[in-house]
Amino acid sequence: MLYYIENSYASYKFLNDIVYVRYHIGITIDRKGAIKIVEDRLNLQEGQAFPVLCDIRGVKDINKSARDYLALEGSILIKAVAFIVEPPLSDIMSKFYLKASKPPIPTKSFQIFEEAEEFLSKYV
Amino acid sequence: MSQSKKKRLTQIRNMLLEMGSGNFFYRVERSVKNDNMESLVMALNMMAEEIEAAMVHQGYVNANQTIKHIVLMSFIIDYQGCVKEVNQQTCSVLSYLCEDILGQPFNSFLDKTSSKKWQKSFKTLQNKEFHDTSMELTFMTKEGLLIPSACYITTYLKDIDVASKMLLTVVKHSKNDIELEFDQKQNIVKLKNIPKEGLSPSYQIPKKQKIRLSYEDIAKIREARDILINNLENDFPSIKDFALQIGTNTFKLKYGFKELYGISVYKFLKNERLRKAKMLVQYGDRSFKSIAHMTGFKSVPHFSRTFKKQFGYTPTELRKRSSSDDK
Repeated sequence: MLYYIENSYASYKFLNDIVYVRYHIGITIDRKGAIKIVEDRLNLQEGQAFPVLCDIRGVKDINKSARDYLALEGSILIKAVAFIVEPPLSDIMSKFYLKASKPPIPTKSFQIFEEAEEFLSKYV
Repeated sequence: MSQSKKKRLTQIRNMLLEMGSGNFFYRVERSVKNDNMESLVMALNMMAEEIEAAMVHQGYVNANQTIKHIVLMSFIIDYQGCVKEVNQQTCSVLSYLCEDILGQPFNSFLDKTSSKKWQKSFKTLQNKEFHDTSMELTFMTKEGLLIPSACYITTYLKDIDVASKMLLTVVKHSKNDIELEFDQKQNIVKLKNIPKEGLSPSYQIPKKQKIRLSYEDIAKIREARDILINNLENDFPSIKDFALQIGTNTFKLKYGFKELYGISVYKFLKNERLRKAKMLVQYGDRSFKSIAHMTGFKSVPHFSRTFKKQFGYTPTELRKRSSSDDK
C-alpha cells in the first residue's frame, strides 16, 4: 500500500489507519478537481474504508458541482470526516457544505488538530 | 473605510440587488483575503449557486413541460477576436452600452483567468472549420460582478470572400419577464376563445393544482432522503412503513418527494445505489457479490442487469476499462 500521494489539489498521507488530506494553499475546486481528489484518495485506500482528516484551510473556492460530487460520490469508503478549518473563510465553507450538501457520513469541523484526531479515533 | 473594503461592499450590494430581481447567475469576485467580509462573499456566492440550481429543478418538477433554456448572451466574434455583433440582452446583463461592446476584444469582458484561457483557445479555434465546442468562461460586468457561464462556440465553413467569424452563445435558465407575459397572454387568449357559459371555475384553476407542503412536511421528506442515502445496503421497507417511520402518510411522501427531488422514492433509491456501486466497481477490487450486497441488490445478476440498464455497460466492462486505465 502507498503511504503518500500528491496531485495538483492536495497531498495525501496514510498514518495510523487515518487518511490525511491536506489541500494546497489557494486552490479552487471544480468538478474535474473533485473527481481527481476522490480518485487519488481511493487509489491510496485500495478498496478499504478509513476515517479521513481533511485540512481545508488552503481551499479558496469550491463550486456547487464539486460540492455535490464530494458529498455523494466522494463519500464512499469513508468512515468519518474531520475538517481542519480556520475562521472565517474555511469555517463558513465547511458549515455551508454540511448544511446544504449534507454528506451521508459523520462529519465535523475542528480548529485544533488533536481534537480532530480524537474524533476520528472513534471510527478507526 | 478603506477603498478596497468600500469596493467589496458595493459589489455585495449589487449582487443582492441582482438576486432580489431574480438574477441568480451573478457572482462577487473573490479576493485573497481571509476576513469576515470574504466569508460573507463566499456564502453569498454559494447561496446564489444553490438557488440557481434549485430554480432549474423547480422548472422541471412542477410544470408539465420541459425546462426553459434561455439564450442569455450571444456574440459574433471576428478573426481578430473582437466582438462584431451582440444581442441586446448581453448589454443589459453586462451593464454596458452596446457601442461600448462592439469592436472591443471579446476577452475584455472576461475575468483575468478566463481571459487567459480564451486567448489560449482562440488560436486553436481559429484554425478549426465547421466545428462546435463548449468551454467554461467567466464574464465580468461593468460593475465588477462575475458570471460564470458554459459557452457554446461554433465556427463556420470558411468562405474565401468573407473573413471567418465565430458564434459564442451563453444559455441560462432564468425567470424571464417576456416569457411570463407570453404565458399570461396565451392563457388570456385561451380564456377569450371559449364561450362564457363554458367558463366554469375549475377552468380558471391550472389543470393540476399544487398541494401546499408545510414546513414540517418538507423537513420530513428531507429526512426521508437522508435515511435512504444512509441505508443503501439495507432492504427498503414498504413505502407505507417508510412513511410511518418518518411520521407522514404514503401520499405526502410520494407526492412531496417527487416535488422536492424531481424523482420517485424508488427511482431515487435505485439511482443512489447505482451511483455508489459504480464508484466501488470503478475504484476498487471488491467482488461484485460484495458490491451488490453493499448497495442493497439481491443478487449479482440483478445488480449487473440494473447496472447495464442505467449506464449502458456492465460492471465487468467498467472494471476492465478502469483497471486497464490504471496500467
